[in-house]
Amino acid sequence: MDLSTNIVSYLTSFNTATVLVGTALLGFACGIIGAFTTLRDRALVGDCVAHASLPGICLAFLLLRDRSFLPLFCGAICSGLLSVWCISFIRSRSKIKSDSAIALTLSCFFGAGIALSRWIQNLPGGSAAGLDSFILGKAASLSYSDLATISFVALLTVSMTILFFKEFVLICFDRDFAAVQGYPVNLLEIFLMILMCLCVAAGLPAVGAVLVVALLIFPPVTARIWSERIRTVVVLSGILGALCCVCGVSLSAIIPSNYISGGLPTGPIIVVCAALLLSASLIAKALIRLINKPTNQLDQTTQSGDLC
Amino acid sequence: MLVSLSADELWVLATCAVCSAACAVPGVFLMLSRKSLLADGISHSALAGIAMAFLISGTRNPLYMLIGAIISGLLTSWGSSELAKRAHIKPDAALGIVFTTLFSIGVIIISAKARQIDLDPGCVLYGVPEFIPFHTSRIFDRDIPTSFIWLSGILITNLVLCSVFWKELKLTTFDPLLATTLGFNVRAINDAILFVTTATIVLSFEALGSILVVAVLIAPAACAYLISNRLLTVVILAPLIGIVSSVLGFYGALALNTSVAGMIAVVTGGVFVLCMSRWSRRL
Amino acid sequence: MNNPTALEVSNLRVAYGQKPALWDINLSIPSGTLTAIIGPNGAGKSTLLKSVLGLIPLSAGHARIFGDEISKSRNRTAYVPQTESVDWDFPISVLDVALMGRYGKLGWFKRPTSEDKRIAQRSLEMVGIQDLASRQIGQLSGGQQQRAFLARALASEADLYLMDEPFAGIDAASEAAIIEIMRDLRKSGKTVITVHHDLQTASDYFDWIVLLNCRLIASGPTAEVLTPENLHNTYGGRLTILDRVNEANATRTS
Repeated sequence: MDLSTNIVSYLTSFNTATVLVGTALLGFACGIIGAFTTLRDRALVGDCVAHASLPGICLAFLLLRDRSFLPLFCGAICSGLLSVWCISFIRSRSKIKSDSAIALTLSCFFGAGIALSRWIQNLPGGSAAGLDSFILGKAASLSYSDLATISFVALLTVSMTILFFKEFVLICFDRDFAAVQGYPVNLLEIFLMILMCLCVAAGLPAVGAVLVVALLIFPPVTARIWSERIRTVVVLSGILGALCCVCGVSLSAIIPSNYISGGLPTGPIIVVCAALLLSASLIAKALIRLINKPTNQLDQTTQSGDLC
Repeated sequence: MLVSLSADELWVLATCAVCSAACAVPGVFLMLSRKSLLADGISHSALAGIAMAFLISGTRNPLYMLIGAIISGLLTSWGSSELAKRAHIKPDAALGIVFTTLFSIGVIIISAKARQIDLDPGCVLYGVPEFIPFHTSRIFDRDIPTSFIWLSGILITNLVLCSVFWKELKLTTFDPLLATTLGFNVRAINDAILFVTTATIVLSFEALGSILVVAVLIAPAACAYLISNRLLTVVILAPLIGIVSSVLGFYGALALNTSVAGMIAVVTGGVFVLCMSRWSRRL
Repeated sequence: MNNPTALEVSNLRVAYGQKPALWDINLSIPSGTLTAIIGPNGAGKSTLLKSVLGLIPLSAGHARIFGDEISKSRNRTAYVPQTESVDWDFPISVLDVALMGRYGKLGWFKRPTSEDKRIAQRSLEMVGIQDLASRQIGQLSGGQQQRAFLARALASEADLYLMDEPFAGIDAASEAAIIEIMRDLRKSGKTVITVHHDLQTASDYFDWIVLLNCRLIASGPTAEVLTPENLHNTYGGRLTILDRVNEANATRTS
């Protein structure tokens, strides 16, 4: 299989089209939710949720003896949500700070997952639990029904975000004010976290556990470089997330597999695309600032007669 | 229930115990300076360093791996703080950006050179303690696992450095601004802590794997921090808790026929839960 | 509809863990006044505001705003906090901040209407920062940020305004501007309760004073409350400057 063959089959395959649509929707949803979680200083909670989903997946497999996507997906969400609860419990009931709470919840849950998966492997009739694809992701091996679930989750996330947009912005920006205005801040936060856990769980097969957090961080950070308005940041973040996913999946389908045995996992390629996009944005913005410098000598804030 | 252990199993147990103790000491300072997630980041990005070491040296020499991983660990810390400062990105987002990028580069290199490099990213992530007894070095006419030697060395190093530089560590962790005004080179001290932590983490990969190292770095330190208000007590308690957790975890893994590293992480988590129920307070 | 008592607090107690911050607070502040809460550092002044608003749980007692529980009087209450707790890099503009004051009246899901935007714009004019409407909030000076949050409170068209040190760190001219706004509010029958740090200006600006030092020392009209004895009880010992303040007050009112 060489490059040209790959490109032809990529462009003509129905499978490619479905994978692209599914991962684009996923990237869009992750970008949107990531905008809120990153702005709230909860960027790495997504990392914890991703790693913490392993025990849930193993338990779901143990209880239901079913390797299909949906039960594992539900298991992932349950343990992900549990880990988020643990983090806020530790934060609110002890002097442990939030970074330590995240780090220890992440590693202990993941350890439980490793222990469970090895135990499953060692059972008579147990087979390799496929940990590598959990960690690294393999978008090309997603089945049609997997993609359907992912797309559904993505659409749900996007529609909820549109509906609750101003409420989410409010709790992310000024929680006390939201409470004073009468919004149930705790419920809204839980809701936001549920949406995040859904996106993370949906992203695991595509991008892998280690890198799904990148889908939540890169797009909003890049979008923030280009805009100062929350609505633009959120939408742009979604678009950039979709873009990175599409590029990454395409590249990993096209790159010939005699260079890489077994094909390249999609997660790392998506992240490299996102990193290139971020670097290009930083450089472009710096250049723009440099070019505009001479005409901005007067600082407007000190000229309008304000006294403060 | 005392299970009699074979010599190999004893070595695994001893190495894991020494590993936990060695990690707990820098873990305390990491936790107190709110850099716990840096440990998570370093663990992931070390893969890039290891992959680059293979690429450049063409060998599987563990020393090169160690150097490569340390370089990528330092790069992670410096890179994320520079990114946060210059690009006005929040610190934890910057950390996430740097370590996922480095990890991805590592995976791509390894996948591209899979035939030349016999390295499984999964193993780096979750460790292969069962192989510890099989890599030995000859010391004093006995075959001792190499991991054990290195980890004992780093444990002693950490304890010595900690006691020699006690007041500097205490000051810079608690109040870096004051430390600077008093003339201490806070930057150098932080870099030194980072260097030692990274070396400890990388040396622990074989025993525990990179992600689970975070558990023994942070959880025993967090338990000690819950129990005591005094820094000295915390620094002494943390490795002790680490040792106890790894011993219990090891026996648990034997009993349940599962991963040693995983069970150690689970037990450290369990010990933390116990400490929370006894020593937490409503803020 | 307009209850003569804006804020009524009975047997209020607030504790942070084991440490009591406020205890046995009983007071009643009438509507249509400008009230200052005064006391030394750590006296619980901010705590009182936050507990009345339901941001901190009460250990005992209750608070009523216009005769109702806080949950029922949210639409009539506005809060201007001390401004440190906000992320200044957040991508919103000054107008967006003012517009947030309208969210309580909008409720769930609804988008702000053009009427809401007009009210927000007008509140920016009231505090004098209408030219900065499209600036991202991190680009403002300290005093401008303070005024943006004041505009947010004004946009909510509340009947009771609770402000935590609105004059902290701003210059005299801005302070005069804010006092004018407060006086306009009082003229329209609104009530303003502020945590205030400056004894000297307190008697000029406010007609009702609450002296607080974990316990209530006194609450009442300014002239009655700002007595040497009350001030001694509040500040517990550091007297020289306060004595001069009292003398100045005494000579002014005599």
